[in-house]
Amino acid sequence: MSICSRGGFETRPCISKAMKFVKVWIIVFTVLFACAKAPQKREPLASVVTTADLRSRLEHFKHKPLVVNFWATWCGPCTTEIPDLVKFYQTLDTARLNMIGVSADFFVVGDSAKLAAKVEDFLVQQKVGYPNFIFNDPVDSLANLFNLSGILPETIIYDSAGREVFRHQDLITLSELQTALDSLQGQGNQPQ
Amino acid sequence: MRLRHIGMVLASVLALGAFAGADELPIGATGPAFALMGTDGKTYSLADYKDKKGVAVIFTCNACPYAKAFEDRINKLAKEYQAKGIAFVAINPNDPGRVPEDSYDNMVKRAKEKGFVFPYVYDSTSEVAAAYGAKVTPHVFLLDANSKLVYRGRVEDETDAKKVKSRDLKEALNALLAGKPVKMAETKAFGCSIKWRKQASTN
Repeated sequence: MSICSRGGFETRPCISKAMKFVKVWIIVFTVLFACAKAPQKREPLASVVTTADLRSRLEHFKHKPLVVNFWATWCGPCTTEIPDLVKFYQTLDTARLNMIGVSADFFVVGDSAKLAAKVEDFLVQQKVGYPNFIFNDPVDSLANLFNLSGILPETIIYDSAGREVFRHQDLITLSELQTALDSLQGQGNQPQ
Repeated sequence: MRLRHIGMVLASVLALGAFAGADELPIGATGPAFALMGTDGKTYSLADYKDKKGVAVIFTCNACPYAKAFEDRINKLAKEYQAKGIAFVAINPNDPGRVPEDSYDNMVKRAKEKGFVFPYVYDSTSEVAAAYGAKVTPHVFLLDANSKLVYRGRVEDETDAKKVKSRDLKEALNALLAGKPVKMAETKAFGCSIKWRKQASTN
């Protein structure tokens, strides 16, 4: 034992089995404690997309009616209506209908990471369950892709064939959304 | 008193065609008259600019980040083109009851902070915005010397000055000064919805 030096890697051979056991448990507890303290890793609620990305994402939503809400954290009526959109989404049968949000947050000048974090925080806080995309291309590209009016917020509903069946500019209410959906279902657009 | 009188007359005239959902003023149409109080306490009316080569009527506000992104560029354009004989007027149509940041007092502050070189006026009923068919902030309506609309839409295509590809208002101003038709007379204005007062948004 006398050959044991204090500190350094050389101490390893002379640590008793008991010491080793204690050390292992210290490590285990440290790791567990660190894990408990660390923020839970999860997928971000919003992903940053280019026009091409958004186009390809839209392909995934084909063959089912789709509700698209255009919004931004800096847009007052947008943040006002989102709790209603969240409630609306909770009533939807997502096996039959999709809903997405497209954020225009990057349309104002600022640090992208900070802007994206602001969107993420808002979505978490509002418990937004539907997928969201932060648009990261020129305003014109988004406006052309969806034939947007330019007024935020704007909400569009497409039927299962991709035809626009409803469009609303500015604040939308839960009952307006419900009425729009009812008329869509009335037209027999819900897939079997 | 005089101001209130003018306001009442205007309100009754504008009420005929003033609805928040109204279409944007068509190209070639006469710009609706207005008489609104600026942040300097003076009243500004369209008739004041009879001798000018044109008037850029810009609906904007204090609160909308999208509108704020264009303030400095509007100010720069105003400096350049007011010297060439085109007047600029910025109108805030938002209801401060809905957006406190858009109160008259806050407009006074904003105009000072940003050093606006043009009148920043308060559309206290939102009816002037409705008469022009403005939808968002910022929303530009460029009138010629005869108050006929020659351009409407956005200032530029991007908020980030470095990414701008299309300087639409500048192009329109140049065309107006050159006596030529504006190539892109209508562009899509993007921004925050106008926060209408109840009486102006009944339709």
